[in-house]
Amino acid sequence: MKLITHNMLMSPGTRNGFPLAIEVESLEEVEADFNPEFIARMVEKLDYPALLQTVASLSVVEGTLPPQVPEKYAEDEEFLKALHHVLLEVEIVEGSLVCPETARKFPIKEGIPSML
Amino acid sequence: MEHRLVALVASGMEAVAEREISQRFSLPPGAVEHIATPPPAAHWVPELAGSSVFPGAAAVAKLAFTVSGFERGSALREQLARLKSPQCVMALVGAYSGVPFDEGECREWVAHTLGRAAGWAAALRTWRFARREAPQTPTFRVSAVRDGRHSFHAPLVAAEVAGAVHTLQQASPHLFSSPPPLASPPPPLEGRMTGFDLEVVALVLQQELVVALSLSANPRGFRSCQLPLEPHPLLRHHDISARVRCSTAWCMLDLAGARPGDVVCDPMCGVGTIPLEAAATIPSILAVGGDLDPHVVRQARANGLLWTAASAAAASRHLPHLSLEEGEGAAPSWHYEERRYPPLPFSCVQTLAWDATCLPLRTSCVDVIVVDLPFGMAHKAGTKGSKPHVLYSLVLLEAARVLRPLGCCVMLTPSRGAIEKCLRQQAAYWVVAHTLPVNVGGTVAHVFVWKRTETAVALARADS
Repeated sequence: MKLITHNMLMSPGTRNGFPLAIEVESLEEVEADFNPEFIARMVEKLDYPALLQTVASLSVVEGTLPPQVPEKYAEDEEFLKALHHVLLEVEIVEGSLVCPETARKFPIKEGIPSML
Repeated sequence: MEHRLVALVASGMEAVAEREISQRFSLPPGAVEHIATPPPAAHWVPELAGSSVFPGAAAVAKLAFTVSGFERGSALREQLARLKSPQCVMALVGAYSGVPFDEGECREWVAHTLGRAAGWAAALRTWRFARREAPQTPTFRVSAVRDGRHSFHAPLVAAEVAGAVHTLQQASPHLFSSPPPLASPPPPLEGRMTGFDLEVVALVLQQELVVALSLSANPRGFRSCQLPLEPHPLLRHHDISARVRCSTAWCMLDLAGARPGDVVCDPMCGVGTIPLEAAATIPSILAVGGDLDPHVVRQARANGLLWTAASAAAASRHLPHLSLEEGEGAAPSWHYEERRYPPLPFSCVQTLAWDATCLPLRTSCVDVIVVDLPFGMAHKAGTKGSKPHVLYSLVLLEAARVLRPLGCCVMLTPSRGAIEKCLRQQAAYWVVAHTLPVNVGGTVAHVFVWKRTETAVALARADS
């Protein structure tokens, strides 16, 4: 699971089950092709504060993201590259997602979160 | 040299396929001809009256078109492999009206009609041109598929067409052999059920007969129950009882109008057919798929990882198309040669285990939903309640919640009544854009294209 997906996930059947806390057992850094258009288009769909909160909780991920989305983000290559790395190149392979509302745990196994 | 071709397309999807074929080959408007069968006076399915969609495997839509200007067969093959909407493309011999319903009359009619048909020479030239290898005198098989109120079955059609092939060869001995003509007349064509070189395909629907030559290297040929076998190079892992065709998935994505920058979601994705087709054909999207069955989700993820690796390799090595055929468990090579995906700017595929009736997604975070809903009781659509509509209404309510306002939802299902019942319950959330009858695998189903309204979904959740 990549962090771009995590940013969309909430605990099923809850009102406030977002963002899910991540308990990492195994995390991989993978390489993904940098596509600035893709990242720029995803910016408007992100919950950016939740992303910052998640990145801060994962001490292993470099925190190079600014506290706010820059105004002209579509032309800000440095920002898009930092966001690209965080969203697409961090893969949670094993661990759990924890609902902030109910504390329910959802396991992540072989990169697949089980949200059942 | 001109090539007269026929594309087989899920009927109901003709407009989508016509648009794609016209664009791919830069054809002028009206150049793609629909070989349509007039509906019988009393349609088999009353609610389809006036529509071109029939049940039955032979009721696949047939789109005829002519292409030219290819110097090599490989260039033609490459362009055909890039088409995403057809189930297959063949060299067209001809389309003939007036098939009799009576067995005896049909024998005579086939011999008379095909024994002197003009299209054979051109179709055989196209077959030789497009095939990687074609022996001087090929062995052949006739595969027939028939639907309608005839007093005979498909094997009779196959036998009569084979008879016509022999008659044609007796009349012009060099017709089926490659130039330069052999000094002595070539031996009679040998018919073979397996290991054939040339597959003559005869499709009989009511009073229409379409004869074409398969350009596929698929050694098994046509089978009436799976007309035709379709390559699925993106789905190396596919332990699943029923799966939407890649061609149908592509047509549904086209109807959904999924664009770069979209989040595309399939809440019941199985082995990932729809998310992968989306990511492999639309640049810069996030395709998210989930399913209840952990085994198929693992397969979807494995398929996604194979595609991701092949995309990265194709981009870095500047390959004209993804090479997906490497590694263990690869399908026969024709899968990779007959459906090809050029590399596109990065898209991302993600797979999760989830319950489509209770999605773990934020409200309004998805642009497009494309889903092949389970087909009735056979695929456990009833396990959540007694009727498919119980499951469907829960799935659609979640779809409405996660879709953004004005987002699009495209569904495929044979249970029209169940969907319409859901629509009545959820009328505040949806505007119907299209309702298309389609023939999928011989069964009549419907594709529904709905747009999300701006009304927020009233949550009836655990804490309320």
